[in-house]
Amino acid sequence: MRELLEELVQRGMRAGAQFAEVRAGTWRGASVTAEDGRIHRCSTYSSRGAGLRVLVRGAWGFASTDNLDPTSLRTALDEAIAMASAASPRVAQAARVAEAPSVEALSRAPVRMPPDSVSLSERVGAVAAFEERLRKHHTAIVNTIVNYTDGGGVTELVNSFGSYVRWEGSTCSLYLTAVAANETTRQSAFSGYASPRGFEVVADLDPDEVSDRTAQRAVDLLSAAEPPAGSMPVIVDPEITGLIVHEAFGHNCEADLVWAGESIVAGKEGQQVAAECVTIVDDPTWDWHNGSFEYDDEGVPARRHVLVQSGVLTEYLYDLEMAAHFGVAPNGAARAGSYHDRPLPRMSNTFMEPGDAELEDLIASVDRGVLICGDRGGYVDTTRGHFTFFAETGFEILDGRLGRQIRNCTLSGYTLETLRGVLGLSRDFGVADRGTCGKHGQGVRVSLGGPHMLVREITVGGSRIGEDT
Amino acid sequence: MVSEERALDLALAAVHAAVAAGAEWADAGVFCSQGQSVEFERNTVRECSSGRHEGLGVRAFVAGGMGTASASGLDLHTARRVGSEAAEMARTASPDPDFHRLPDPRPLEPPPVSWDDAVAGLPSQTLVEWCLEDIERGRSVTDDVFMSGAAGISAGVAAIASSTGVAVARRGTHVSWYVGASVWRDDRAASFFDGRSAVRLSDVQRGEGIVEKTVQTALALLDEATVPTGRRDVVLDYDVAGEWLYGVLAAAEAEGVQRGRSFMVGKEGDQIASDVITVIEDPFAPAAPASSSWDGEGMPKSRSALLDRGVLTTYLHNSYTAFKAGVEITGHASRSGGYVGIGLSNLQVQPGSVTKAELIAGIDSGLLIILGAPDPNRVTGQVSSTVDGGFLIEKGEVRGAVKGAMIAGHIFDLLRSVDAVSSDYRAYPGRIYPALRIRDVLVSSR
Repeated sequence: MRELLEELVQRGMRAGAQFAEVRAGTWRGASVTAEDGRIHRCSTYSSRGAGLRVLVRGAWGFASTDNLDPTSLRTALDEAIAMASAASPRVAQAARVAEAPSVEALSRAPVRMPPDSVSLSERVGAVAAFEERLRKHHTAIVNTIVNYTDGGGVTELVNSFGSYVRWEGSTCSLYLTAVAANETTRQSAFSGYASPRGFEVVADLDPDEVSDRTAQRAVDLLSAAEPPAGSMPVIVDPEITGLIVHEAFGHNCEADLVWAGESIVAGKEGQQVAAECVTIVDDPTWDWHNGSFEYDDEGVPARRHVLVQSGVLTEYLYDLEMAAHFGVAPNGAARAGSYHDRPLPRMSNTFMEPGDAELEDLIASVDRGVLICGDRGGYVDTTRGHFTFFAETGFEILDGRLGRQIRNCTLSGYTLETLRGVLGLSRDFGVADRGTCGKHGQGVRVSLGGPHMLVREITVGGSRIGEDT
Repeated sequence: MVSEERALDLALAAVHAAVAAGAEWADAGVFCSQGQSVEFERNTVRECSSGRHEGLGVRAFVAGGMGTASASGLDLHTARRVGSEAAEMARTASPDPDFHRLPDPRPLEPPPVSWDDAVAGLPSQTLVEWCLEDIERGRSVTDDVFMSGAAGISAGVAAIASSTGVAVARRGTHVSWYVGASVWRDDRAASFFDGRSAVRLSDVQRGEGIVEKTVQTALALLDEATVPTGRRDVVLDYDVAGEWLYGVLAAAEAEGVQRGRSFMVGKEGDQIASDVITVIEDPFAPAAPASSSWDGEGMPKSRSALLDRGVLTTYLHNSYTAFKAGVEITGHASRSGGYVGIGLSNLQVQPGSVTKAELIAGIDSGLLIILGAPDPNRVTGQVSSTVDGGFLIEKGEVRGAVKGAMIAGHIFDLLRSVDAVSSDYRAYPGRIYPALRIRDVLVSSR
């Protein structure tokens, strides 16, 4: 395959491209879903394809195809060249790419138990064990779903800098959902684990502990109160800290959004954007967490990025094009959802460094507020810097002590106001290795985390107003 | 691109392979698509792209145990391999006493218009010109706007075959465009977006003031002010109302209900909303992207009122949930690879008797929400939602934009508090979305 990809890159350059790149690969995996006491579904999937990209007189052309035969690939390349050539006279701001060193590399994650080395029956048995424990934990549990998915394959990159990178890898994930119900309400809890490794992601978990904890969370929510409404001091747990760091702040550091005028930190390099206690890092080299990689999808070696140091904005995340635009060296942050997608500046493992406070001391410092726990997703308007996040649960805080448990909380606020209003960070630290991040329709594996974080004020969307919290 | 006949042949080959490998029941879906798109950002064309994608998925059953397999690529070898793998997977799954059988073929309505040669043959240069037009239209409103967006076309073929004799195929075209406008003034920023999609080029609504309105709306959202926490009347603008009701009715899918993980449990036949709301699903609307005479299992779709004067008339079924419940199949199966789920097509909310302006005029203190539907949690039905774009209403007049507001409540309380539907509406191919007014909603703020 390498020779064919090299031939395609040369063909692109001969046709007048300033830059040419081809990524191609194959991927294959299996999935098992257990629900309500049965192995509901067993699946296999396989995919193959290529993405071919050329820059012609300042215009990008990109083509993707599911066919890896030489004719299909040449046709796709020619389409990319033709479209870019046709568009180039109408491009107002010509695109360029920064020069990147030529690399020749094989990247392989340290996988202890490759998924295809584990029998299907063993994988099914593991899923069944989690589901059975989840279901039998409590009589209030009315629905349980455990989904396991694995995959493995090879992706190869060749570009006109002379780089060749071959990624050999696998992924593995396990997700548990429990629904509990009583006469008046139904509530759910979710746990997830994912990694660019092998079946050890599942084998190293304790099914009883993981399942019991997930199911009990759903049961506890049945008797939780609705949250108070309004703006108040909020302590968020490591999952929500990670969500704020990644979703509300980190996307603003992606240089394409900075360039497009869709970032609230555009032009703020070297400026104070957060409280002094805040340091935010994006690190793809971090010990093969869910967002880890050794080379980005443009073949640039990965490295740690300190986005914010002691509250000061220090770095953006670049792909080759944005590095050229901003006049900096590429910093290994270009990622593509698959070989069918073009690379974009993306995050990897993004977290806030812990502080030196004890959680108990943070709670004790709040007269009236809430502690919010459990990421249930959300969304951000990056132009306005406004976020909306959903959380599974939390606790009221009154006179420095935890009060009633609350459920189904929504947090809303402005990112920079929130980060400037950070009053304290705990010394404990947590990371969520389970998710994918979406951008322009592409999903990439990420992890996120941080310490417990006390913020002066965030708006809580609840159904109780005019009550003491 | 493969023909409909070839797609059907490959689907049948996959089904036969599954049966030969021991499946008692099997069905297969084949897809093939090719398309082109152009993206622009910061007032310049960014990228032109093309894609050719094809693949198939097979679902097989052994003693009710379900196995699925999917793969990219369309050739006989792949079809047979995938069929065989699905059967092997089915043997590994648990028997399911609730699985009865796959459905027999049934008579279908004539297919709605789904193809336009003008779309299939549109050159990518036209898409580039559209993008440049949209940039210019946006900048004609204010020179300091940053315009982003895309325009794209695709053409595709889909086929479904089953071991019970289902064999259906169709081809379709799709054309779409959208624009986003971002504006900054001092420390304030705002953005808004809009777009259209259609089967036919003549329905795509280019040059109807949509781009200019998008920029004007972004400018209007710049001047935000907070509103005090309290209970207010709320008007959901056309698109917000349509998306909201779509989300509510999508939650009536029978599998979630049967598994006990939906707030819709026990609600079939109940008055779940105010009697001013009637929502008709019309899968036969001509030239609408979501239209089709058959669902993801090749079963006939039908036109019906899903919400009839506030009453939820039916859950949405595929064959599995229908046989399990002992009811008729409703034609709501959706298919992705080998997996068959449940989904909706075109919703037409029946207009009321007063205009949106009159809905607003009847509010002393409230909100007009133009972005961000107050979607419920699918398990609990609880709503806790940010007003992503909205304006204050005072004494019947729309005032400045609201900042940081959230609305909360239970979905059924909100649905029952709708007191009026507007007579005017936004119409898309197959869809009709009037505005709604909800009385006495909890709005929390800073």
